[in-house]
Amino acid sequence: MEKVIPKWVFVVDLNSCVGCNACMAACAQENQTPYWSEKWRTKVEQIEIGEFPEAKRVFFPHLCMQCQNTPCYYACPTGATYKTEEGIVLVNHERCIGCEACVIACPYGARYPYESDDVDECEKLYGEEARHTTPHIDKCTWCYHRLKEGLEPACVETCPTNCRMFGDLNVDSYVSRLVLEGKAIPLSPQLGTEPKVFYVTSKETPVGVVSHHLDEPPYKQTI
Amino acid sequence: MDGLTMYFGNYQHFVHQTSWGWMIAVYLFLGGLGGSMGALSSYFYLIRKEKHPLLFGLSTLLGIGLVNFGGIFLLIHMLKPWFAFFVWTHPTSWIFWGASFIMIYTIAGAVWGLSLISSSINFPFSQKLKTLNPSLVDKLGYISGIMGLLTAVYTGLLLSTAPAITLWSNPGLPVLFMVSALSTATAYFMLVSPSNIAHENEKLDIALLALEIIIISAFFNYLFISSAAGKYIISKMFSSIGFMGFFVVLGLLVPFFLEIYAIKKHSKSLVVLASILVLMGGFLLRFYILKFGYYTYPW
Repeated sequence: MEKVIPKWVFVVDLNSCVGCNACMAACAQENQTPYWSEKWRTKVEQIEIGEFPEAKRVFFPHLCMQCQNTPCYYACPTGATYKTEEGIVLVNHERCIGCEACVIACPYGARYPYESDDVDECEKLYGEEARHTTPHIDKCTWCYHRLKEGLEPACVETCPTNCRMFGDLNVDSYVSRLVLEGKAIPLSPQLGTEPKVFYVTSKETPVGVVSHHLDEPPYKQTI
Repeated sequence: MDGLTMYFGNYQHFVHQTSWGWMIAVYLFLGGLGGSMGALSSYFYLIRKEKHPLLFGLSTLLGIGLVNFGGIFLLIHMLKPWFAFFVWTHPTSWIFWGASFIMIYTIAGAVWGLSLISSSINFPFSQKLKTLNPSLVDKLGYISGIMGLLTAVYTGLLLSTAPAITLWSNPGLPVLFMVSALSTATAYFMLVSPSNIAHENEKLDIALLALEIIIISAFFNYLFISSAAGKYIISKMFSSIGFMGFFVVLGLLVPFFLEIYAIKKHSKSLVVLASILVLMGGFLLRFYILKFGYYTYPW
């Protein structure tokens, strides 16, 4: 029987994110990301919109989009960035020289340097369990090690509001129908990266692709 | 991300890239200058038949030195520079091609440059180099020149692979960097050449600076009309004293008019001043192109 390669997709429902950041904590624990340096594989942006009395705060979770056309893969000079047969973009830690060409190339801010100090802290915290033993550029893998065992990514499993959903386009499911019926849409499709993370948009969430839903004036914020 | 200004206009936000800073600007500047010094040396000696082998040989060798010295800044910036040889493993990356251009330029240019100076300066291999087939030496000179020029172009192509950075991901940047690099190399030759060659270089540099002014103006036009990100970037550029004052005025417009004036007055001191300003402008251009590299994030 011919082996069927899964077509994994990730769906984020912006209507149900409450900004609890449990996904960030679960990811940091699962993947030993350097939270001590404020670096995350997945992040929930908390954005304040408008002014009193109309002020409100909205949440926007993002992670690696596992692009079909992958700018970071093309920019990597060493071949440290590679793709699995399922299309998951991974980084070979040993091979990566940390030139940051991939960080620059990523249109979604999904990559960051795991520096020597971070490696030291990781080894101090996790001891023999440490999985980051050399400096490299790090990124979300959709918890590929879990997927191979039939588990969902840690952030999906822990999300209390089902804002984060994971599925296979080959299998009929709520997730695959959201994508195939166009109810969930990708970010910055004009770049031609063909992301595999799709968003169910919300009236209140300031994502570029749904800006027609919003009527607030532009504003500036310093973070 | 402390201290970054985010602008939520049309519900995108623009975040300053912090990966590549002044060290990469030095790498890009020295790569452009050094590569163009080799390219112009080959052009002057092999095509324009200027008979100054010592000048063009030493300039090529100096150019190679500058390119490789600039490369040290890229290496220092890497997390694991001791594995830098891995860059020759993935040809889809411009760094692969840049490293290849620099390597070929270094080898071909070194043999060609040393051959040119071997008739004037004695060094351990000079006798052996004198016996090389002149046709082979000329071919190495052409290879050196082409690879030097490609090194200068590569510095722009390297930045153009960032699809979310409006200022970088456009076909104008490699052209701008190439013209600027040739202009800085011409400024170098204006400083060190005999007066007859320096005079010719002034005309060449005026043309290159005029071209650079046109390209920079076209960039401003592109940024004004392209997108919200473009408008944001140009507002940052116009409010930057460093960019407008030190690059546009002192590094571009002033040397352009100074050189026109110096040609009429035959003033060597004005030429020297203009050359120094052009070299300063070349570095500042790259520094500010990196500084105004803003991602457009769709949230």
